[in-house]
Amino acid sequence: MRFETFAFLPPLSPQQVEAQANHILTQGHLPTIEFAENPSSADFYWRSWPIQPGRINSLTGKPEPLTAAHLTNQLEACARRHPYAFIRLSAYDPKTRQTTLSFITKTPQEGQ
Amino acid sequence: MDTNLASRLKTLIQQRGLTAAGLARQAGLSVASLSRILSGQTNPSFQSVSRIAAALGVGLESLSPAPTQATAPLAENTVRAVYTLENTDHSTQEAGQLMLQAALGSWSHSWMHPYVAEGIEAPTLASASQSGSHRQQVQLAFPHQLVEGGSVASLLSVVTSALSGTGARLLDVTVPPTLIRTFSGPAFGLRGLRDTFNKHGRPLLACTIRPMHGLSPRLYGRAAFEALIGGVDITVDPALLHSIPSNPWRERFRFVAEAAAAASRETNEFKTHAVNITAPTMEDMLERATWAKELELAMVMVDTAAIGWSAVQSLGAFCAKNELILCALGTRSLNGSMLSEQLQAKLLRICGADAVSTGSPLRGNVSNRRYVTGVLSALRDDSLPAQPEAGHHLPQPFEGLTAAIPAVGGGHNPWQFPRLIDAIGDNALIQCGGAVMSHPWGGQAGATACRTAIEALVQARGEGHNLNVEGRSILLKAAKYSPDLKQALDTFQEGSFLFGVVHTLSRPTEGSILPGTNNPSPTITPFRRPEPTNED
Repeated sequence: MRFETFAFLPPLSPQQVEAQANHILTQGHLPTIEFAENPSSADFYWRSWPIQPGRINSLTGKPEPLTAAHLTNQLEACARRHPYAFIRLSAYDPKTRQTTLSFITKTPQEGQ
Repeated sequence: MDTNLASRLKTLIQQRGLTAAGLARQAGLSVASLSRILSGQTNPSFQSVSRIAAALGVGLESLSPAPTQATAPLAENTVRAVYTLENTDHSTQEAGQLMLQAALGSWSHSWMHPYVAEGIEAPTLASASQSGSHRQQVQLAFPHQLVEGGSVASLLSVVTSALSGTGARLLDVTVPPTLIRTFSGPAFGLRGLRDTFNKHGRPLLACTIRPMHGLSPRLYGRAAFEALIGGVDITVDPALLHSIPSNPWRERFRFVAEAAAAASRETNEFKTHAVNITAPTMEDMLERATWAKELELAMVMVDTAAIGWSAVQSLGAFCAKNELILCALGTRSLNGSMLSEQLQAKLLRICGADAVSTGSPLRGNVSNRRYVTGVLSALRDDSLPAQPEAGHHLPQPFEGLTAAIPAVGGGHNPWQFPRLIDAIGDNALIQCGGAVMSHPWGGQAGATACRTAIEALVQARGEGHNLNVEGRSILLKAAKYSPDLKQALDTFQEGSFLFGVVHTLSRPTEGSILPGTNNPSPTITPFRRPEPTNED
């Protein structure tokens, strides 16, 4: 089973995933976490995992901007909740209306 | 801002308090070659410029010239056209009058003239200037009412009226907003193609099937299948393969459709094959497109230079209605007619071609790279500033017209991918049939090598590596886990371009006997010129 971008690389380490997440955020693109248990190439829409907003800043009362570490924590949380699912991280650029990146961060963890 | 690379470099060197020798050492260039660049004596290679940019710690954009404005501001709603008169003895004024009179030829005075309604305007001379010795550049303005809406044929017919009898060449045309809104552009385009095929965050990989003659349709489909399961996204018919008795179109389409479907099932990725529907008549092309549609193929391709603009527009409309992606692929697509590549790219986008072949930005020197970048921006950008060095003599607003995806070809192999991806970005299709099909382990290994190289580079770029500078080490690191890529890097040479064929036989010289062939006749030796006779 190949899932498009980065499918021909060895599985990404947590540090590598974090680096890509960091790249997405520095580009100003909007990250999305999606998961599906038995996906096929015909499935465009996977279930989305809501990314919790960052910590509330006590001075401004607004959530702090997302960080790469926060995104990887969210990916971890999704993987714990759905251990038999493929999980992918996508980025969307509203300016060009294009998905600028979409890759699998976790494959099903057998035996867990 | 200076427009000149040399003066720009000098300013940057002064700003950083560097010396030319220090910069040369940092960039890994010889002091002599840097001083040649600084004195403007040479057109530096792209690699030297990118090294200098990396040493200075600036992007390549800051070394490339800023867009310059056209001489005359773009009047609302006129079609502007720029022509060049080469090898001419005319003065600037004479050249302007010559072109204007040629354009006005069909407006000559007649006895009906007094009856002509008011408000009908004739073409006017916008500007004329000397662009070189014995070379004049003339700009004419045509009222947009003269052009039929939604018709590239009408547009070209009107602006080329000034070419009759003048020996001039058309350089560029601006389609005003009122007219450009009458064209629908690509039905899928860049974003649509990505979303439909679910391929994001990397350049797409396409591969032209070789050899194009001599395979049965079934074996031809096998070649496509191997490339597709290896990691190629789109396989493409060669531009010169239309329908021949040994590979008739109906059967070929059936087998490649089967190959694409089987590869999609096998890999769980979207795969497709662009079938060549170039045919003698429009009806034939539509029949072939319909057959492709019935086989659930997603793409059709045509040799746009050969079939003509109206045919391209017809196919664009047909493909939009039938959910087919129209490709203008093959090396000839921008070289076929007498128009500049940038202008043809613009017109193809307007006609509705979703993917258009372009040349390689890596070939030649910096000016060639700018030239190809001009083609890429004509296909992808929202609006084009006037930038003569990139082939855009006039600004062109696209008014939200869908972008087409450029298919960058030119015999690349994985060694060139770092610089290529850096030059073209993600929003392009890399056509590298040569590197895929001529991998010593076969098409599947070749495809895996190219795909792995692309993904490793995209990943490294996301981690903040500079592809121009670190490309080599990124590839070598990826070759450690991908034997296919390792083999490809060993086989193909760094810096060599191949056009589909690597293992050619050496060309036989006169009188040589080809191995494995019989002489057709004992009296005729192949490859020998006939003996001169007394009659000569």
